[in-house]
Amino acid sequence: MTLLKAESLSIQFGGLKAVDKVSLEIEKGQLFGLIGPNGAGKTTFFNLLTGVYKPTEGKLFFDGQEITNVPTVSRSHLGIRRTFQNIRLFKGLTVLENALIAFDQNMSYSLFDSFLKSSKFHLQEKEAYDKALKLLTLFKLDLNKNDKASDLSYGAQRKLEIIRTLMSDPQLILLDEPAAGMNHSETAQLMDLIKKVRDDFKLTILLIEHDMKLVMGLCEQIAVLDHGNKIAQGRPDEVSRDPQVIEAYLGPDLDSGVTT
Amino acid sequence: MKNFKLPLLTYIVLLVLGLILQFSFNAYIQILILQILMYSIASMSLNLVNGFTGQFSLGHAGFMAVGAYTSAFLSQTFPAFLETTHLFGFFIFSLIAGLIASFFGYLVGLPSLRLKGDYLAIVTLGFGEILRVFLLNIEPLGAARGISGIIPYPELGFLDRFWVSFAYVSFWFLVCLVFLWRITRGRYGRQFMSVREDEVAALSLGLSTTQIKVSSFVIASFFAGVAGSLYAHLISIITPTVFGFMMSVNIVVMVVLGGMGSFSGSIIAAAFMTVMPEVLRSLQSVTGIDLRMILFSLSLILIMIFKPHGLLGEHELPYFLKKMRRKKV
Ligand SMILES: Nc1ncnc2c1ncn2[C@@H]1O[C@H](COP(=O)(O)OP(=O)(O)OP(=O)(O)O)[C@@H](O)[C@H]1O
Ligand SMILES: [Mg+2]
Repeated sequence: MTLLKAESLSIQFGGLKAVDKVSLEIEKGQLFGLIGPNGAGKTTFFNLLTGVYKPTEGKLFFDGQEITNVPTVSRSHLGIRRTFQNIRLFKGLTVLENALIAFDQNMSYSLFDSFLKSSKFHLQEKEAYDKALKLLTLFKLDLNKNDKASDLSYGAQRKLEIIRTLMSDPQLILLDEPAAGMNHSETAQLMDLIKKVRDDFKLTILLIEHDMKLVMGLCEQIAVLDHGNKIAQGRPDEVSRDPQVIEAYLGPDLDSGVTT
Repeated sequence: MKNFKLPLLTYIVLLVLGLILQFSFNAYIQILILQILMYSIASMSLNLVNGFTGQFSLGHAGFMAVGAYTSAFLSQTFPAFLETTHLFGFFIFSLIAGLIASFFGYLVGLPSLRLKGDYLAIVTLGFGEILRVFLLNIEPLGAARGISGIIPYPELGFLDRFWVSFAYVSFWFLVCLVFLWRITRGRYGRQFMSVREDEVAALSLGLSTTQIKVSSFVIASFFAGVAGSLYAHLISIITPTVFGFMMSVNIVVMVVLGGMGSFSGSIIAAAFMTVMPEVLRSLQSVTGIDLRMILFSLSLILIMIFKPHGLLGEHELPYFLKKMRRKKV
């Protein structure tokens, strides 16, 4: 079953076609990779999916429903969540608070429940706390729960962003270079974790990644962007053999360390 | 009720304290104490907007003016109601004052909270000025003369006017403190802070940042209106100029001085900002020259140099008490 469908989605900044008529279908439960050289339009495509930008052309469907004009806030409520390439944590708050905020859309108690400290208040706060602690433990951040988010290492901050996406039991999460800035063993651990999360939470994941080896080993389906155009899509082995991809991305003068 | 044990206990202690104050201090000090409580309400509520939500409002005195004029106008129009209902009537007036101020907060906040930083400061400042000029020209509200002879809080038997005023003002002080304290420790506190920390991230997590900013603004305006209502009946005379730009700045200074995000800091700063000019005034009679404003400004500058995040930073008083106790052990 198709969960996300983009129909010739485009956006133009001045004269620059950052995303140009990209069509894409992502199946429920898939681990989908989006790759492409610097400036190919990957992050911009994410911004279109999450409603940060309105497309100049094209349509977007989620779970059978058109969401082209649905605002960012509501897309989170529908079950789409994302991380940011340039980490956007609530830096002045603690690790735990960062996770708890992400549960807010699942809470319903009112200002007066807060004021009266009603049982609804206590119940939902506990639910949020338990959920946060479970995820923090899974990502081995539970011991840092009272640290300021800005005090975490780079890799830990990226993990916390993923935790934030998971707090609301989303259907689809979009990860923008989740392993950027991590060393090899950290990256390997993270990839195992992403796979585990997908299986345990029955999620669909769309992942942007620079580390080619990593995407090849992890994703079941890969799409390649170049200069805003989708130039290829298929299984990892198919994509890596595609001559257009090799030219655009895996060219011999590229230092991404990928053998073809 | 069991969730209000501590506030109730605190209130009883305050009532007894009021008795002690009634017999041990003169009227001059008594009115200072009442003002501290009133300004604490104003600064704590502004802290919700400027400290927790990270918006820069410079028009808090405007919302106090709305509350003060509402309460004064009601009491001039329905004096008989206050006579028969005593404090309950005052309570109703304060409540209406707060609600009308929060309505103004909504009107000002909805369009302007889409603006960021300095722009919001300018719009809120503009609101305060427009309101002042408006009040200066409305004859039924006294125009430049303002409203005088506003009915003060009553005496009750052997409890004099100060005690009744103190009991009433501390009631609102506690309501404001407990309300703000509790709503900022839970999902709403996290919502406010998420807007302060990163609006783009907040949106991506399904939080309606505009709605959050407006609610923070509306809540703050409500308590500003209540503070204004208290002011009217404590001082008995209000004019448009009292609630001008300087008062807004003073309240912002209280918030910054006490610490953004620290309600107890706001209370301490409100006390400092109210008492300090008076202390310096008595110094003037000794030295013969008016050093008041110079020393006052100097003390503010020194505090901001040595405590750039305000007296308490983002922490509350209990945090420091706990830390001190831990050190002793
Ligand atoms: N808001 C914007 N206004 C103007 N141009 C933009 C904007 N956002 C992105 N672009 C341009 O669109 C192109 C695609 O950018 P994008 O960030 O999507 O690339 P990317 O594939 O994510 O690259 P990277 O791998 O470096 O993250 C770039 O040329 C970029 O400069
Ligand atoms: Mg990018």
